Amino acid sequence: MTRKALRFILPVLILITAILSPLSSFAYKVPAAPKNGGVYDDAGVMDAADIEHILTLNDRLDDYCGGQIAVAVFTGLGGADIATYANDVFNEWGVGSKTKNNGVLLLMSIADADYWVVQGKGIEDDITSGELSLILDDELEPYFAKEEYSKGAVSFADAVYQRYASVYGFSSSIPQAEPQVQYIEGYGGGLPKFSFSGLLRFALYVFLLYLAVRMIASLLRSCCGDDDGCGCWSCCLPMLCCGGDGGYRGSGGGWRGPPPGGFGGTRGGFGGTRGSFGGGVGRTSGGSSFGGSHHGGFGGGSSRGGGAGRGRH
Amino acid sequence: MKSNTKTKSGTEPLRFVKVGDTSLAVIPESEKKNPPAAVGAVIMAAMIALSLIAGPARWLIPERSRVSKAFYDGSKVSDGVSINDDLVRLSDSAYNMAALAEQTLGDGGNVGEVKRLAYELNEDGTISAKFADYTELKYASSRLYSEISEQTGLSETQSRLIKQCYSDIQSRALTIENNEYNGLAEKYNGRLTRFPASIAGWLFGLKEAELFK
Repeated sequence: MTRKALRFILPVLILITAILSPLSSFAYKVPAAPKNGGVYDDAGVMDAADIEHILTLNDRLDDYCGGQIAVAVFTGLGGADIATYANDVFNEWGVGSKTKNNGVLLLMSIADADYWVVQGKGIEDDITSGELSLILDDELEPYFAKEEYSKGAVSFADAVYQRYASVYGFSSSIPQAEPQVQYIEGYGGGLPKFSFSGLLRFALYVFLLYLAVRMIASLLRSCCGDDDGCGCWSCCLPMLCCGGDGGYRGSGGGWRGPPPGGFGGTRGGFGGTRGSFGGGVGRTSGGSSFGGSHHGGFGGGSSRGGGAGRGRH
Repeated sequence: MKSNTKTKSGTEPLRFVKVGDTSLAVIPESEKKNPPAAVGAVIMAAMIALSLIAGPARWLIPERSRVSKAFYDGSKVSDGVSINDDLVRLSDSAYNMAALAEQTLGDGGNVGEVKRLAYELNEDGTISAKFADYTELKYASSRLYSEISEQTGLSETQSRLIKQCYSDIQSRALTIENNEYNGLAEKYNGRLTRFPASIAGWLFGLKEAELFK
């Protein structure tokens, strides 16, 4: 090999190594725990309503026994072993109560068409991996095979919730999430889909806006008076000045005091019963934009590995 | 008494004295003058050798017992979980799976093998014996599960329960793999194979710790 060839190959090799080394370390990095305290959706396959449902289950579990059902959906795992990765995610996030170590994590990898569930060490004798394996077969697999990941996750979470109920002795009826304003994906501003209370508020805002416009128009007309040359600033707005008859006739002059504002835009401001959706920002990856009154967070639980998954047996 | 001399290369010739049938070397005067130096060198060499052996042995033996303690009691006492506990539970699951399979397959073949190994895993006391049982049991369970899965006459309940048991075995094996004992054992084995600890280990009969991986 000539010296010239070496001069060319060496820098190329160094460059390739430099490029690949951060990629390999990135592939095995555990992402930060979702702020909503229960659902991480890197692949964007979870429905907002289903996320809300799982978070509601977690609220109840937190109240009753400190348990937690975390769902993590990844686009892919970059070649990592799913069982090892799930264990790392569990311990990194600290799923479930720190003292009871009774969390359950369901990890789905879409690219690998695989899933794995791992439980905390405090509950591994009550909700065994064998039981979880059967729950996966019955509840998740039928949906997962049809690529209905969100429904599968909810079905799995419901079944595990009922298992928690039998272990800790509380009611196994599935709590339903309270009606929420739901976002239509694809709208950056997050338009409300449907909400009865939201609709009422919207109607009220429209009515108040109508009254305000009428009031402003009346005041401007009274300000302008019968003669057009009153010198009032509002006369620069002939559209308002030349309205119909009637309305308020004040003593002349403009507005005194603060303007009758207070109406925000048509977007945002729809405070749900359980907290708002964070300033009209659309759903981010990981579903972490849900503020709400969920307990949120992870308790610091840990797992000893193990668990059950798809296609291992 | 008869005496003769032999030449020692490059130094003063050695003198030999014949006593009966035996020839005895007579130490030259020049060497007789420094006996403390020779003895000192020997003593020093012995001390170095002793320290090479005794030094590593001082920490190797306690470390080996720490590894054993981690196996039986768990490396974190507060956890109360050890590989030994997990092995007990694994053998229970394996035995249950065999008992369920026995209803269809009878008590011979893989069923008998799994039952025997599950029993031995519980009964054997040493780590090495448990390791051998555990390794064999994992394979035997896998063979039995494959065999029973091919059976068509299983009821839904039997099939589900057998799968549950097998999932428990698989899960327990993963948990065992993740146990901190393995980390301690790997560290110990790494030290044991290095010089001079390897000599000390050989002299004291210390063997590498079994890795449950």
